[in-house]
Amino acid sequence: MSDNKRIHRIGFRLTAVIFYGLLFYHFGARINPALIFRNQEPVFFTTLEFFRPFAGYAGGPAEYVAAFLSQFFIFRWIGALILIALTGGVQLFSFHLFRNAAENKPIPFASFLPPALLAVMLSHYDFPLASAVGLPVSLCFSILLLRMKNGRFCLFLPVLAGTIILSYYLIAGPYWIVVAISGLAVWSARDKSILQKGILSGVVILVGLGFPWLLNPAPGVMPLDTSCFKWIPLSVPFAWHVLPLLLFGFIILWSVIQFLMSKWKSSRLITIGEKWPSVIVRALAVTGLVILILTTTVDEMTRSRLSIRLHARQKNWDGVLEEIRKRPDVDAISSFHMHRALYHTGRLGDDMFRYPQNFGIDGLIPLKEDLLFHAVEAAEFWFEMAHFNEAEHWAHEAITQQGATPWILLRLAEINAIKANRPMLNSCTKLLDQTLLQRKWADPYEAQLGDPASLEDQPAVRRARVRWIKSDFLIHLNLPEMDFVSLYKRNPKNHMAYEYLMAYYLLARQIGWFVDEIEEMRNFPYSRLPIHWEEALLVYMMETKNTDPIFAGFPISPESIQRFNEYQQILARYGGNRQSAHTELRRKYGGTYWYYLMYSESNIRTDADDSVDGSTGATQ
Amino acid sequence: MKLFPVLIRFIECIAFLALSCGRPSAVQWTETQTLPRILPDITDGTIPPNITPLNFKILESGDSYEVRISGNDGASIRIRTGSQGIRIPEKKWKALLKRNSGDTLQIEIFVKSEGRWNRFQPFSLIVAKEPIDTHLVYRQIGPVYMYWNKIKLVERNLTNFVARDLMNNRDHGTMCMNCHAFAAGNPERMMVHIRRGPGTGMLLSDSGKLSNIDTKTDFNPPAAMPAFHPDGSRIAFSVNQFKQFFHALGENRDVVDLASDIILYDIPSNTITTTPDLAAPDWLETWPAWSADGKTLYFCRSPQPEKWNMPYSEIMKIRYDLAAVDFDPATGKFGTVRTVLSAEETGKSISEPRVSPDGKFLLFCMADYGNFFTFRESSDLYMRDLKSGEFRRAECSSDRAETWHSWSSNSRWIVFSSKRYDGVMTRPCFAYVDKEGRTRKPFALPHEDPEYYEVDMFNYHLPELITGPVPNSESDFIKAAYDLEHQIPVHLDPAVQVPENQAKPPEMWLPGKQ
Repeated sequence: MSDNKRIHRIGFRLTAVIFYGLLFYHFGARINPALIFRNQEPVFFTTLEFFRPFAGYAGGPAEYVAAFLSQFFIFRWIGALILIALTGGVQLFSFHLFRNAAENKPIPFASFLPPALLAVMLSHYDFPLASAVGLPVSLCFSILLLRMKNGRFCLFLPVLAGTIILSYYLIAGPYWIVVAISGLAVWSARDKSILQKGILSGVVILVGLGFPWLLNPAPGVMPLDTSCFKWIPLSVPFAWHVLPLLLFGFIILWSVIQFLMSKWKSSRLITIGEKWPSVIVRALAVTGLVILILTTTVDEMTRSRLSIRLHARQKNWDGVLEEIRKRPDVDAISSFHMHRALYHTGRLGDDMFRYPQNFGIDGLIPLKEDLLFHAVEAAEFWFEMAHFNEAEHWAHEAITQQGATPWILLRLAEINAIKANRPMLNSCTKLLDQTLLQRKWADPYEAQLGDPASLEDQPAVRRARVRWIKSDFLIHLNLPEMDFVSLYKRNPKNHMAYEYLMAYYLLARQIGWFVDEIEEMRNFPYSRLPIHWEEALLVYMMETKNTDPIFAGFPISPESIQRFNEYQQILARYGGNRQSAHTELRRKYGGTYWYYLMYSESNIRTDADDSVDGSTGATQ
Repeated sequence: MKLFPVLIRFIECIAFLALSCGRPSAVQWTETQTLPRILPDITDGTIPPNITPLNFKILESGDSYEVRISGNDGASIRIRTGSQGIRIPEKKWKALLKRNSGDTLQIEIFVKSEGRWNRFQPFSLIVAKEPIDTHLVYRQIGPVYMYWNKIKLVERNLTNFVARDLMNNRDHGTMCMNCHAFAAGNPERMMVHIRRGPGTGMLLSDSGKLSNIDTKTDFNPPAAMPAFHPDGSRIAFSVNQFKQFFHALGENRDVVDLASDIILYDIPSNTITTTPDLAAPDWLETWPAWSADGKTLYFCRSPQPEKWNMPYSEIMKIRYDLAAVDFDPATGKFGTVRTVLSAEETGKSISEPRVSPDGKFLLFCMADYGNFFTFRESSDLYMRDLKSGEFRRAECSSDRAETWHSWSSNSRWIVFSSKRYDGVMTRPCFAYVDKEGRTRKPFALPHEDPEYYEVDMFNYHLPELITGPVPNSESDFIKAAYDLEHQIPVHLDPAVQVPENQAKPPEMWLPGKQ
């Protein structure tokens, strides 16, 4: 081996170590595959029945494998390893593809570009893993075709046709690479004239690309982005369409370039490429590329929002609040989880206005349209609220939207245990038993299903039933906050409903309604008035000229009275002009209810559909 | 790609063979005085002679299981397995049914536990002489609340386990398929509504030739609940403005009909018509159904409430009568509407009338209120003798919702959707109807996987029995659905008066994430 080649090889390997080391850190520490999983959450069961539908359509097998691999994303570093394996696989096969395309076998640094592009795509939380799974497979098939090109042509053609069909069935869209490379393979076959090669290559590419049309149930009338063209760059449900297109295009084009360059025997480029300064330049370029990926591809906002959702699922309420402190520009769903976190940490009445309240009631309980893509979270929320029918409703919406994920099944199992619906509980348990990593979740229910009495005795079931309502009401689909009233009025032991009701009144600026309910706090073990409640009561006292600072047996604390006086003094200093006082009040009292009341736009929601809303009369 | 699940099945088989190899079958046992718990429950049922094996799961725990199915002619099937799922060999089963048509099968179940065999009380299966129609068409959909996503229209061969998708929206985007209907169980004369995806329309099949019809007119929104005239030349529809709402206790879902009328689509003239009696502004008319001779149109109706801004206690008072109107197929003219069975008389609300093909019985649902009974636990099937006018609760009803029924062409079998198994998902159940209109204990649609019903999270809506396979492929349906260029708009009969300020009804069930 020449020195140049040795230098080239060492440089290549060192670059690979740096490249994948950095990528591994990028995927594991920055992207966090657990967040990808939280966002996409593909369903996977270990049964043959689950596999069967995947075997029935093009790209189904790749989707099945992707669903399987995705399950491990809940472990962030194992997930990172899987992503590295995929990107590494793409590079390995790209490397061999380029070498097979070029007859002089160079060591192509260009093989780092496909994994780099793939890494960018995988860094996007919406990118479908099935598309990435198909890439190494397509490259593998392409290599196979290039290796067979010099065999007997009459044998090569059937193999080529079979490879195209098989690759299309297994991976759908990425089979385009196989089709393009098959054209190259035919072109580079020996013992054929240029005209023959040209015609044959063209025919192979045209037939290969047109092949899915034969399987299209309604060619010509159906849109392209159907299962027939699943996972092709243009139909990948992913924001940056240009990236898959670039990736496909680069692999195909670079293979062709390699082939053409290898024909150009006197190429100086190749000679220059093997000298050590060139190796260093290339290694630096690749390192620069990965650093570019590291620094530019993480969508911080999406990551933050997904982290909040992940923390909420894990009931890591401090994690939710910590994430919101780091990135206060939350969306309505994050705000929804923020309120849950505040309630579960016992701080809703004390701290809710210290956190961003940009969405008013929409951030406390979003409307159904906003919850559609967060159905499982809605189910969790209503379950915590002991609104079990609504929890069941949203769990079923979640099944419709996402399929039966383990989290939905667990929620449904809990609901059906409370409702004593044993057949449904049994179904959920059996399905949980068929999951890959959450089988143990079924254990407590499996034991209880065998003994009817033990289910009734389960403490969680008994506790839940205590908070359950005993009489029906119609759910307010368009004004879910009205359900807080219905739930609390039907069961005054429902503390969460009470706290949310009070939070709703505060957000809706309905201090009169709030004061009407304040006496109800005697039903719960409060030791004092929560701070924001005191703030609201002080406003009430000021407006009604009430001088008695005792509510539900609790006095308003002197600290709150003093702060309220200071707030009033600041306002007075600016002559009562809200705009002028804004900056100082925000700095000193931005986390108070007074500030929210004075500067927020949030108002009560109304039901546009009230003329035909079946929920009319729900609280009667 | 198949390696993983196949591997699991392979290991299961090897493990079972290793466990059971060389052991004798149950020769000595202890009698147990109870019936075995099995899913789905087929104990003491009546089955058609042409039905596919009724695979089931034994819910009793044990190490080994043995099932013996024997006929009075001495022939029997013996199945021994290490798993609770019982798969009955198809060929042997069919031969056994053939030999025992009109007779009874005995089923014994043995469970080996802690080294001892226990025999549960045997039960019988009556094999009726009359076969059931060979195919069933149903819509398979996930839990139905506000949003839908994956929907399939499936044709299932009842004599085996073969099912095929007539339409599967996985293959064609966001399309929703809803009500489908056949003319007297004829697979060559069918219709299905579609919406979303390519657009709203009705796919109408005439001997396999599909047309896409736009049933919307100035008078009516797209047609809803269909009823094919027995001669296949007309379809009666209801047009409804449903409103869904949810309960906080008990069954969550409920539906109220804010407005509804009945219209008639004449296929040869491509015209929609109605009469003031069928589209009265002060009545809600819905669920049309033809008599077997096509000379009477049955439907359900209730006085239109004065206002909809009403409390639930008022919604609970909405009850539907069973009404009928004479129809002359030659002229297409309707007579005067009469009440056949009033809600006042029954104390319940009536919906979904379906007349048996022999014209003797009318099967309908009754529940405490409303007319959309798939969400009403109180919904039961009732059989009315059309000659005597007597009616009674069908014996095959359960304490959960029974709805969406359909007759076999020989009038001896019915299929209906039942929530009897878990109260949430609807499953197709089949019941034998004797000559007096008495129904027998039903059995659920058999599946190859004995554990299917334990893990299935789908609803089976509108099971319709048909006499053979639908001649169209999925490709035909999709082509017709997407071929909007050739969609045929219906004409509105000029005699129909269009009310002013015709409101566009809101869509109740919406497409979800795609």
